[in-house]
Amino acid sequence: MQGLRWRGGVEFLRRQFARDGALYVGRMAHISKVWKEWLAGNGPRLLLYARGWGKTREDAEDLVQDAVLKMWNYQHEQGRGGGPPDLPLVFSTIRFGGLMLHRTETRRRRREEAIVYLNDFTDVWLDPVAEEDEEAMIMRDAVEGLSGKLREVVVMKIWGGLTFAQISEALAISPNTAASRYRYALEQLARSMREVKEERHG
Amino acid sequence: MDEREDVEAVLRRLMPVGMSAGAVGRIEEGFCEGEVGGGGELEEGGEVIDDGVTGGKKYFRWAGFGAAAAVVVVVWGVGAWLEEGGGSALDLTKEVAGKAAGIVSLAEMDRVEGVTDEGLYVDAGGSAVRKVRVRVVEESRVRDEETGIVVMLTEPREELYLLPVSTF
Repeated sequence: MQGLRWRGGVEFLRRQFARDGALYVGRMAHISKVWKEWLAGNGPRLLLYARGWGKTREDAEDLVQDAVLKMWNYQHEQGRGGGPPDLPLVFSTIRFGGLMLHRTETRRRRREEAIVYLNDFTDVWLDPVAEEDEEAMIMRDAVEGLSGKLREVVVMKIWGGLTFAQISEALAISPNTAASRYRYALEQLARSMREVKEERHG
Repeated sequence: MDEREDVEAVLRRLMPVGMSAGAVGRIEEGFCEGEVGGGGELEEGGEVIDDGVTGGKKYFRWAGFGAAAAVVVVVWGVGAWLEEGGGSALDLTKEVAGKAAGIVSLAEMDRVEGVTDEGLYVDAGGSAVRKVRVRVVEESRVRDEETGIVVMLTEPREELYLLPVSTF
């Protein structure tokens, strides 16, 4: 057999992005994929947090959409690498969006005579893992009934997986305050559960 | 403390409800549009060959190759190429007639970067084969019809060929 000969090698083409917005599709496709996976994993907990700020599910989804896309642009600025952001920052961004929304809604309500929000009983924030879990369903209603300040700490701790230090960073409060709110929230939830059980079962 | 732990245990039996498909789709559209001002670095195999738009800010939308390819022509003969002793890089040009919405495939090419003869092996059946490892770089040139930008994508891969040997 003849000797094997080949000429040349692969020239790996490297070029910086031009500031006029030309994109390298392969890398962007990879980054998009990473972000989509991040969204699939974190979307539900972000939505849960946003439910505390939006009057309806749609408002909450809009808050999440705005926050995530803001993060997309932020993370693609120079030196940030383009990868998904840390959760405390996203929670913080949703919170800011919620505050702005609340301000807009309050102004609108003052202008309008009456606004009627119909309860959609199929629209729940949390689902029990197991069906027919009575305690979990009682707890679900109790969580929705917590005040905003207590609920957001519980959401970030239990479903966001954040530490008190991260929660304090996201909410601009001290870690002690975050821990106190969490303890107080659990006490309120325990009391709510006791009361409902007593009502139902005597 | 026990009561708080009990509450936490019940809370963990609840899962946040997922976002609607519409909401997820709108967010993912934002990722794909990728309005990036710049500053990224190419890590492997990509080049903007021709920016067909002058001035202003340009965007490139990548819609993927979802449409079916109508015709694929592949010319490949590693054995014959080896018999001829190699030589210049072997180009395999595939003409793909299909196109995805807004994206036109101009050419796809597999370029052989290197060939390594790993010698003779006897397989489980007692047949002699020659193991040949080929490093190939697949290059695709695509054009976004809206902006005119032409991009070349490169994807390196390694292929292992087992060539039956009948004469020694």
